[in-house]
Amino acid sequence: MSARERRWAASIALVAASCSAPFVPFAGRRTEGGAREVASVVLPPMPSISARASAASPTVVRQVLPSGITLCLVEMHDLPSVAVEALARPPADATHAAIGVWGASDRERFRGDGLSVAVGHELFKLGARYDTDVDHGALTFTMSTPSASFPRAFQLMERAMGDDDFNARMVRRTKEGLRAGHFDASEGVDRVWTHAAVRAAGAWTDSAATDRADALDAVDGAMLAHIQRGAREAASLTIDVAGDVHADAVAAAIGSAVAEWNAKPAPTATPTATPTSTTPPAPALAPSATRPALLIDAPGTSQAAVGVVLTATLDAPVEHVTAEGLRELVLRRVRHLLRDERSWTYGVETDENRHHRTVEITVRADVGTEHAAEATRLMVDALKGLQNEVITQANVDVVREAFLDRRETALATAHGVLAWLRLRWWNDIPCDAASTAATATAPLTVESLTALARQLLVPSSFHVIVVGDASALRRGLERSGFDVTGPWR
Amino acid sequence: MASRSTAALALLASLSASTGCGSPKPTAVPEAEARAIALPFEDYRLPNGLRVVLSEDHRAPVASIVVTYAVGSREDPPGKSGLAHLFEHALFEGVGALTADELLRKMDEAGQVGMNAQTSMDSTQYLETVSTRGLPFALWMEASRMAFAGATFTQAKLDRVRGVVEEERKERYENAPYGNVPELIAGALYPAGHPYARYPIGTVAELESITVDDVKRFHATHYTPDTATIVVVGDLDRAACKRMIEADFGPIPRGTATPLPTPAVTAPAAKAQVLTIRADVAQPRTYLAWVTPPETDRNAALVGIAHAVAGGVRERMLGARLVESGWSHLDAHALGGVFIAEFTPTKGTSTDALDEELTRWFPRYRQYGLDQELLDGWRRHFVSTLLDRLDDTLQRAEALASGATSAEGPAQYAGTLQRLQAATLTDAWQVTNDVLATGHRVVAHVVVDPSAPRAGALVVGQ
Repeated sequence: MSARERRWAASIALVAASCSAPFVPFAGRRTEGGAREVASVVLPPMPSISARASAASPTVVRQVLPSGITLCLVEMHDLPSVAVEALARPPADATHAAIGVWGASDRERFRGDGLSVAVGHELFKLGARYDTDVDHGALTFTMSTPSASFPRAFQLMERAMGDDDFNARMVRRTKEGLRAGHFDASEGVDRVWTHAAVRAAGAWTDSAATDRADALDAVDGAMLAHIQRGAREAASLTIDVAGDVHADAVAAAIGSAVAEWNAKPAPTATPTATPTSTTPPAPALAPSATRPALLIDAPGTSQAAVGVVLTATLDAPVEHVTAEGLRELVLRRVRHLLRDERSWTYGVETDENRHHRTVEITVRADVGTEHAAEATRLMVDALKGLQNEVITQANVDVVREAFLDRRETALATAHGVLAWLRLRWWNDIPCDAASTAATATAPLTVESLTALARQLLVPSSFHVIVVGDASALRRGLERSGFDVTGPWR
Repeated sequence: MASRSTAALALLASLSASTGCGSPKPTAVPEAEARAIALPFEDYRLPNGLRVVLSEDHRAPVASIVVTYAVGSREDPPGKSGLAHLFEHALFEGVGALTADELLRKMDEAGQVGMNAQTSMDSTQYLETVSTRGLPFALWMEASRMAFAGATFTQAKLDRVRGVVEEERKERYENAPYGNVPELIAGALYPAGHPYARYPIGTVAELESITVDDVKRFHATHYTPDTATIVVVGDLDRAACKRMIEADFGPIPRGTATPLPTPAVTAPAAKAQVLTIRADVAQPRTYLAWVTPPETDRNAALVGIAHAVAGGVRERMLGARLVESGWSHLDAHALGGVFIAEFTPTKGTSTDALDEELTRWFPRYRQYGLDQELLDGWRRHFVSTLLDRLDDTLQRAEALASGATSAEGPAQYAGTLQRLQAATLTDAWQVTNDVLATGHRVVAHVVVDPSAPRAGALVVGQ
C-alpha cells in the first residue's frame, strides 16, 4: 500500500457503534494445500480494550525577544536532533500570486550560485536540512539538524532567511515551472483534477492565483524579496524549536542570530486582491439550484478522477480541530461508500485548508470509468446528507478519538511537536497555554460541527469536477442528474 | 525459546570506532548519535519458529507492530501473478468472527493511527501503531490473521479485494503517465523469469484467474510462524508483552513450505540496452538505470552516493539548458536493486544529443566533486536521516523488521551505517565505478505519441 493507503487505513467507517456482540473465538482447521495439517488452533478470547489514560502534553517555554519575535521551545532529549520552524504571516500588500511564487521558489533558490546555494551546501555537510513553504497562507521556514550542529545550523538558517536575492533568472525559472505544471490533459487524472480545482473552484488560494497569467506575469523579484524581508520584520514571526537542545543554548544561538531582525507591528493578514485574470477562463461553475458538474476530457483513460471542492467564507474563524473533524467525517462517509461497500476505488483523498475565514475541503477518488458517474452521484448525495442530517455525539466521539490518537503519537516526535505548535500559532493560542486532551478538543462539539457543515456543505455551491474519458462519461453524468459543463480540454 | 539481548553499548563501540583502512581515515559518528541509533532490543524465537523482536520506547503511550512474512511476489505461482499482493489486501477483510467493518472499528478503539500493509518482491509486511491500551487487541488480531485468514476467506471477500486491487493497478500503473516505465526497465535489467523482472501488482488476466482455493492454499503455505517475524516497539511492559505473544501466537503450528531457490542476476551487459517507449504524455523523458548490489551487500550504503553524482550531472545539464528537470531513485531489495536517473529534456534538445552528454558525464563522477568532503557530507546526511526515522516508533519497528529476515539480524540498519563509516573514498569511487560506469545499464527513451497508452508501451521488436 502507498502513503495514500496508510491514510485510508488510518480510520474506519463512520458507523460508531461498538462491537457489542459476545465474541466466540474461532477454532479453525487448516488443511488446504497440504502444507500442514492443523488439528485445531484455539486462540485466547479477544482481549478487551481499556479506556484512554490521560497523556501529558509537552512543556513549552515561551519567550519574547527584545525585537518582538516570539520563541517557543520544547526540550526533548531522547534523540540527538533538533527541529526548528519559523512562522510568519505575509506582508499585507503581497498578492496571492506573489505568495504562491515565493512558495514555489525554494527549488530555484538552491540551484546556481546564490547565497542560498552556499548555505545549502554547508547545511548538507552538517547533516542538516532547510526548506521553505506556504502553508494555510503562512510563510514557513523549517530546518532540522543533529543537535551537535545546532548552533551552526541555526546560523545558516538565519543567513538563508536573510537572503533577499531573488534574481531575474531564479524568478523566471520558478514561473516557468508553475506555468508548465498548471494544466496538461496528458497528466494523470488526479493532477488534472487538482489543477481544475484550483482554476475552476479557486481552491488552494495562493496556488490558484499563480494560475492566472497576468497575475503571474506581474510578480517580480522585488515582490518576492519584499515577502522574504517582511517575514523577518513581522510581529507575527514566531520561532518554534523542538528537540535535544537546552534553553540557554537556544537563547544564545537565536538571540545573537536574529537580534538584528526588527519585528514591526503585525500587518493585517489579508493580502490584497489578485488582479483580474485575462487568461482564457475555465468554464465557470456558478452556484446553481441544479447539479452542475465540470467535465474535463482525458481521452482513453480507464479511470476518472471524481471529486467535489467545498468552500465557504465564514462569519468567524473556525478552530482547526473542527474543520479537521468535518474533513474526517467526509472522508469516512465517502470511503465507506466507494471503497468498503463497492470496491470502486483504491482510496479516497481529502484535504482541508483554511485561509483566514475561508475554509475549504476537497474530496476526490479515482474510479473506474464504468462507475464514475454513479460514484459522483453517491459522493454528492453523501455530502448533502451530511449537511441535512443531524450530527450526533457518536459522530463527534469518533472524530475526537481519532484526533486524540494522532495527537498522542505525534507529540512524541520533534516534528509532531512543531506541527502542534503551528496549529496553536494559526489559532492565535499562546504556545505555552495549558493544553490537555480536553482543552485541545473542546471546540469540537455537535454544535460546532453542525454549524460548519451547514455553512460548508451547501449543495448549491458544490464544485463537482470529473476528469476522464468524456465520451464515456458525459451521458452517465447527465443520467445521474448533473448539468454537465464541458468537456473542457 | 532462545533469547538474546543486544546491548546498545556494543554497537556504540563499533559505530564510534575508526575501522577503515586505506586513506583518508573515516569519520566516527558522534557518541550521542551512535548511542541513539543503537536501539536496545530483545530478539528470540517461539518454539514454533516465530521470530520476536521487542524494543522499549517510553516517550509516548503508543506501540508499533510490524509483522513480516518472508513471502512476496517471487512466490506468486505461475499464471497467478499478483497473488501475494492480493492476499495482503485480504487480511483487511476481517478475522475470525470479526467482519472488515468490525475489525477496523475495534482497531479504532485500540487507538490506531496507522494501519497498513505492503508487498514487495521478497516479503509482505503488516504495520500498525496503536495506543498502549490497544496493544493486546492488536497482537491478538495479528495472531488471528496468521491462524485463520485463509480458512475464513470467501468468494465475496475475493471479489471485493480483487476489485480494489484492479483499481489500484489502474491508478498507479495503467492510468498514470509513464506508469509502465519502471516495470519495463526492471524487465530489461533483470532476465526473464527473475522475480524482480516484474512488479508485485500482477496482470489483470492473472488476477482474474485467482480463486478462493488459490488464496487459501497461499495462506496455508506461506503465512506460518516459522516464516514470520513480529517486531513490537513502544511503551511496553516487556514481560507482559512476551506473555501475550506466547499466548496468541504460540498455538499456531509451523509450516512445511520449502524456500524457493535464489535466482541468478543477469551478468552485466557489455553495452547499454536501449528501450524506446511510446506514451501519450506531455513531455519526452530519458531514463538511465543500473542494477545495484543487494541491500545486504557491504557496499549497499555507498550506492546511495550515486544520488550526489546524478545531482552533479543534472546541474551540468541544467546549466547547458539541455534538461528541464532531473530526479534519481534507488530501490534496494534482498537480491539486488535498481538505481534510476530520469531527465526531462528541454524543447529542442534531441534524444541523441542528451544521450551523448549523459553517457559522457555519468562515468566522470570524480569531476563532480566525489571527494572526501562529499563522502563525509553523505555520511552526515545518512546519520541525520536515520535519526529522523528513529524518531517515530513505527519507523523504528520498520528499521528492526527490515533486518530481521536477513543474516545480519534486526540491527542490520546500524551495520549498514557502520560499513558506511568504515568506507574510504577509494571504496566510494570503486562502488560508483562498478555501478555507474561499468554496471549493467538500460537507457529508456519515452517518446510522445498521442496514439499510445499514457502509461507507455514498448516499441515492438525490443
